[in-house]
Amino acid sequence: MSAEVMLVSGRTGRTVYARVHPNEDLVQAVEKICLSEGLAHCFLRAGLGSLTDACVAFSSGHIKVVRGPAVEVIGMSGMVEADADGTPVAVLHGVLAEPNGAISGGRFVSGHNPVCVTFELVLEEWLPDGARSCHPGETELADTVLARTVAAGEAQAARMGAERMGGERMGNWET
Amino acid sequence: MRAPAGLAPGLTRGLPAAARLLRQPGPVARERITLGRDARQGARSSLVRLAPGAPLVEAFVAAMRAATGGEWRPAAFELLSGALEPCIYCLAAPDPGGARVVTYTPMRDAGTVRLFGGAATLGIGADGAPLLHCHAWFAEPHEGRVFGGHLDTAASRIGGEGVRVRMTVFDGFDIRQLPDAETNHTLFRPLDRSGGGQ
Repeated sequence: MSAEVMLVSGRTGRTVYARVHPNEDLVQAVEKICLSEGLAHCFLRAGLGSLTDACVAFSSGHIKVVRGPAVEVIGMSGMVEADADGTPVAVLHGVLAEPNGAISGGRFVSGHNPVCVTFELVLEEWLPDGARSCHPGETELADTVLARTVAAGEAQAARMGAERMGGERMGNWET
Repeated sequence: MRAPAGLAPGLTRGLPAAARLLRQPGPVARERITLGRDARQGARSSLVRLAPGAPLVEAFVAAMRAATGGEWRPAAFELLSGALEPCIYCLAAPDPGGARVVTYTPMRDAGTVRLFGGAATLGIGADGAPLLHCHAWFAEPHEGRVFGGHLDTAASRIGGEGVRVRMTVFDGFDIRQLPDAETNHTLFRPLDRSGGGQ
């Protein structure tokens, strides 16, 4: 049995560099930048800075507050996708260094990650052509597959999206 | 308790009621997010392999100049993999003097490390020289213990296997390190290329 894949082709658009000032929330800052610049989808291309305290979620659902000040964000990955209403939703993960040097990481919880001194971000716009869902090797036209998938397999697409994002549904694939 | 956006309902174990916000030493700036925009589509992005030996700041400047034909431009980097030798870094900790909310800890030497990831920004420092702001995470050479922090990019050097980075060069704005009254630090900020704010 071949695995179904969700393929989104597209191209990159504008690039934005941002300096986020103290006490702004990291996740919401990314979303505010997307709203003000009209970026529906983007990749985080760089993220470095410090948080007063970091608040991250793990796959178990447990949430941990990593105490600063300051917690240095030493690695970061993430992207922004628009939800069904077109509102940008940022899903960001980070590797964290505490003042004592201990390392941890997780998904940043929106509203609980205030910038301490400064945070630099680079967002690269992603302009998707459209979502295609198919089984590798299938010769069926992608549009037909997509129509069938949307009709019969939205739950599957949601599950795949959730797995790719590390546990929760986000965004809409039908662009 | 209602789960915040992006978390499934019920996944709130350990979530504090509110985040702690600190009073910085200076007046709060009106601007909360400062943007540098590169209007054209498809920014100048490159995959770069930095050769061993040079201090990080010199290696990253050379990569930027190779992409621009020698002209100065600010750039951002996604650190992909490689080695640093040595890797000199510090962390952020409360400022005992109280002039700032946090200051840097003394530098520590992690030796020859394998680099896993991180990010860097190349701009002009307060002294007019190129400045590379870099955070990274890496494994120390003997037991693979993972560390990371804010790198001293003049003292840390590219290690024997080189370093791979994804570079984005910005044409639409400058990045300069300037005094920041709110935090009492000197910090990178984007400026339009004529020297004013964007």
